[in-house]
Amino acid sequence: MMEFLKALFDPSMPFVRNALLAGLLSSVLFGVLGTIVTVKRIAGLAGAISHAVLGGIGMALFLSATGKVPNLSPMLGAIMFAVLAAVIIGVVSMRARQREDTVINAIWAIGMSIGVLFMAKTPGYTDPTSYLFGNILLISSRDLIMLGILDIIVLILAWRFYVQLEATSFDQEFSQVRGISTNAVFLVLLSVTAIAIVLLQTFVGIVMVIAMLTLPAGTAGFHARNMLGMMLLAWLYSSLFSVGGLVAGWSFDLPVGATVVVIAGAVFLGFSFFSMLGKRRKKARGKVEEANR
Amino acid sequence: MTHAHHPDKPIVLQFTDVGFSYAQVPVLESASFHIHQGEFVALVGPNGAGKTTVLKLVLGLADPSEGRIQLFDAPPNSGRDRLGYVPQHADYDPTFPISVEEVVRMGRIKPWSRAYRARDMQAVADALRIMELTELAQRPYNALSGGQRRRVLVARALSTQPEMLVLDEPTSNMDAESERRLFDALGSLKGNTTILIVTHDTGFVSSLTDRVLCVGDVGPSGKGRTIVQHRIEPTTEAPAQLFGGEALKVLHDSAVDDPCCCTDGGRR
Repeated sequence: MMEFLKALFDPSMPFVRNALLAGLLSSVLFGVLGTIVTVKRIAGLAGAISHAVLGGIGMALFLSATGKVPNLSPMLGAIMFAVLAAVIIGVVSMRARQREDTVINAIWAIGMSIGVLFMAKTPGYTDPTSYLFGNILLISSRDLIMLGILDIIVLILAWRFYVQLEATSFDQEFSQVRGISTNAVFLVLLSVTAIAIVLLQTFVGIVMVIAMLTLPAGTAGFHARNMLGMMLLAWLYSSLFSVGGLVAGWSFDLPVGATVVVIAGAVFLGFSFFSMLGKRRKKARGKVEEANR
Repeated sequence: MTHAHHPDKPIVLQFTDVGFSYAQVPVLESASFHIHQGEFVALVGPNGAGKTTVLKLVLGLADPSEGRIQLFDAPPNSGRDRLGYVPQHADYDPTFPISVEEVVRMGRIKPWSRAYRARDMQAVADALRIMELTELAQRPYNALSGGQRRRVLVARALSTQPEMLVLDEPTSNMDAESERRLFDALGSLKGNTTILIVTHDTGFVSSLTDRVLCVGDVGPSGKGRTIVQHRIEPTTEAPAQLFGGEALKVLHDSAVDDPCCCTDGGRR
């Protein structure tokens, strides 16, 4: 812990401060978007987009390294695949609900496989794992500014359309009858999530993105009273997991992304266990009271 | 209790030769009926007969392939602003964090507005009171019983201050006490608010019912189903816990000719 604090204030190690700031800034997105993704039950959909992104990264690396499209940045490839995945899933989800799961899983698997195939044929050594887990310690000041801008956009959209988001997540059919364009809300949400996934996965890796979009919000869901409370709690949990992972990773020389995911997962499973235990006790108490009556 | 028709009142919902198909499979054909302001109408039919399709057409969630639907003299997706809808909400997520009051408040939602005003909150308070839910307003929605949750959805529809209330299977999985409270509330609304209640119970309907429309008879071409009005009569055969105690028997062998209650479309 002391070593981490020393590194944090060491002027020759700005990357530690950047990593901490990146963790805090991405927590805003994980808290707000994660809550919406969780209550709308589209975590699988976000997972498919984030994994399909690997296909775009692989394609961009291959085209760039072979000189077919010189200097094609992996982020551009990632954006192309994220948008493509979001459009396909969005259209299928709105028009043919019964096949949504199959398409989500197909995009998930095909996107990743395309990425691995392209990387295998890319001259030089490319490790897909580095894109799966990312490296939060490589974040630049420019990346932080981009994260900050996305935070502001997402916060403004969530504040402006909170009631519509709440209503469409709770009861889509009723919202539609009340005149809300549920398809428009869904497509905007999907687009913003896809953009956030691309940005975040470049910084923290695909696995951490999907874990942090679901685990802090899932943990917050155990005691939040409404969607706003869930967003704020998920934001707090995400910050704690990110900082905790960074400190633990630095102190014990562990990969930061994987450490954050393990901490978030352990806390979520712990809450699930205690919640289950609490429900059982309540049920048992109810039975005893009924028998005593 | 009298089961008055209201042919002197304006028509609020009119189906004229409506047909509907799902991907070339005919579901509804030549369906014609109308409902007058203030009527309490039950739309009955066995599962799979096409009740949900009729409901979707009324709510403007689907467009007819043939014929015309007018809701408050406008196409359904315009007229539905004046309608309160109580869905089954069978796919409800028990982990969704929301209070009873927040659910009811959704009835006041507007497509672009983010704030609720004082008159919105007054309408919410009134709806909670009518459904006897004021004391539960701050409780988590997922902590309620199935019957209480259904009453919350009715309160949400009432908070829109609707001229017509459409209820989809409101009593399915409901306990007798909640059912009594629901029908007490509907009884207090009867006459002022037009009520269309959709149910798969084809044998009996609430004694509040003025008319029964049945979905299920095969249409003229023999492909889709159509809608006919059947007669009802008081009965003592219904289970005591149904509809808060009083029920009517549906006489499926006794149809009333279309156009059900008035020959000139009710515009006299």
